[in-house]
Amino acid sequence: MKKQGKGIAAGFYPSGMSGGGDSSQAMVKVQPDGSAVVTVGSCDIGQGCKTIMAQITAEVLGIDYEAVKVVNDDTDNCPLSFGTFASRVTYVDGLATKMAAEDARRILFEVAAVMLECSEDELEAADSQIRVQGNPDKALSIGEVAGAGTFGMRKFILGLGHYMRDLAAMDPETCECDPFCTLAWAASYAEVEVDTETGEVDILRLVNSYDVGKAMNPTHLEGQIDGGATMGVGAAMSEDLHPFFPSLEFQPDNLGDYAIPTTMDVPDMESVIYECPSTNGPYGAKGIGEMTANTPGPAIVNAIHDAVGIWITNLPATPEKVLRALDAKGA
Amino acid sequence: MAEGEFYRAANPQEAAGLLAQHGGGARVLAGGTDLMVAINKRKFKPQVLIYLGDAGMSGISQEGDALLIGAATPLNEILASPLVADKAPLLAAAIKQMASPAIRNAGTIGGNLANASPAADTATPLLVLGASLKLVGAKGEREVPLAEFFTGPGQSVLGADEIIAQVKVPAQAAKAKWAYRKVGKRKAQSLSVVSVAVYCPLSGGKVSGAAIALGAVAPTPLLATEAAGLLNGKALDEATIAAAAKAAAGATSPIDDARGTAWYRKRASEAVVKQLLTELAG
Repeated sequence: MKKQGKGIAAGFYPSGMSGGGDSSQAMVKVQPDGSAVVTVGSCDIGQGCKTIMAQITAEVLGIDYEAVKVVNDDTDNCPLSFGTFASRVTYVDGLATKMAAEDARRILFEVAAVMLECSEDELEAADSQIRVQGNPDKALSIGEVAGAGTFGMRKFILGLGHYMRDLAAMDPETCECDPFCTLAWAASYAEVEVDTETGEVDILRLVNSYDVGKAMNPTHLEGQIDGGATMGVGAAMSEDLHPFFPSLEFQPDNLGDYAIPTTMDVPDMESVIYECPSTNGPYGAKGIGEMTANTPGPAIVNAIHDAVGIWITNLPATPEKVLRALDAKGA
Repeated sequence: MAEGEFYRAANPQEAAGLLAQHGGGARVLAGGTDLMVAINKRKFKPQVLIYLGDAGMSGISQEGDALLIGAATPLNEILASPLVADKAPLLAAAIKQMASPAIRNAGTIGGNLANASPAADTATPLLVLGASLKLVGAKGEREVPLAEFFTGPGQSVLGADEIIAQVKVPAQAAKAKWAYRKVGKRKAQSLSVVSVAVYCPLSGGKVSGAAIALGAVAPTPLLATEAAGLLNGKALDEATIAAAAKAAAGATSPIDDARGTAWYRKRASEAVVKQLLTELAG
């Protein structure tokens, strides 16, 4: 017999290492032609670090995304970064990059103020120009400013940024402290169908909603949510390092036996982006890298419970575990 | 891979002759989807490889009421064949769930059978359809019913100098009902934990000449003859189905392995046979 059920799960996750001290530096160099080079120490493992750092830099300097090059491939030559982990790169490296780009923009304003005979406070950077706010006639292309600054005024248009959250101080009486950079929130909803005779579980639908703070790149985020949810489906349904635990027999020794999901195993998925801005992230952004794998599993397990009244307390929810739990419940 | 000799056989007889000449250190190579994995895992180092892809052993034709499938025919070619879809749709249904498109482009039907895995996914549909194999050896050829081919895990009646040259598949009866299902660790690119093929020719509302085969639940792909016998002469009612499913599970002798336990395989065998027969009755 086949029985259907629905389940939800919610979670939260900090961006970066909790407790303080998590640190990243960034350099933004504006070239004489007005293009920019960002150097950060966190590498891109497919999550889109290069894209996000280029977007932030382009936003601050008012230049095209295509005019920004990101260098983050060489730990020997990049500035300090604790690295790509802890869902921290958009948040921590993003803040460092934003600070570095603002620092570079300050130098551009120094140069432009001389050229336009105005005060630095009057200037803005937009549309690949440095111009006087509210007076579009008093404008120079960013290339003119960077070129004149570099060659005429011997300026090094290099901005530096270093973000590090202070160590969280703890109240000795109450243990109260503020250890997190920010918290992102999440919820998943799953619909499953359980075959009560074979124990097979079919995931019919999976909806995953993540609080990203600010969606700097919605397509990226949808991909990140789908990718994380797929990992969550694998953890929930098929990936098993010790199928006969506590016996270590039959440990998978290849990716054929360690069954990660194929596209056939992934249900219809919907990614829902929710924006609850963080108070101090870059443009309000939060990191959701790791947490996207966390909520699908419990939502699926809850849906199995709703369908057939069993609790799977040890993942993956293999057909055998489902069948044994159904037997135990029936007995 | 270790250095060795490589031959490209021009026909099955030449391949068999080379096997006889080189003895135990020689292996035949078709799609390589089992052989190359074993070589890469250092399970053995063949001294001689004999390639069958140019031996004229590929292709699908019809002879009377049977299909003749060359042993070196890639699985995807069988899956795409209108002739197979028409005469042996059960075989196509099983192949569709095998491995992945890339592996099915390389892997061959003869290789799947010769490897003699208890989980060979072409074996269950071919067993219920009464397929037979043309084996070509150095001293001649013989025809062996598939039901007599497998002798144990990785073992068959294939002689040291023999290769499978052709698979003969009797066409499915026009009025036959059939079904196939595979339970794996996931929905694609997966080895069978349990696979079941059922074939039920019908005559006047009664089953006549039924066959049930199960994969990955015994030392060889298993033809559950007692279970099928319980269906013959009967309508597919609930009691008949339950009895046949119980008998089919009773015929299994599964083991624990990386993909599942013996306990689960026995339970799932009964459940899947029951579900497939119920599907046919509906």
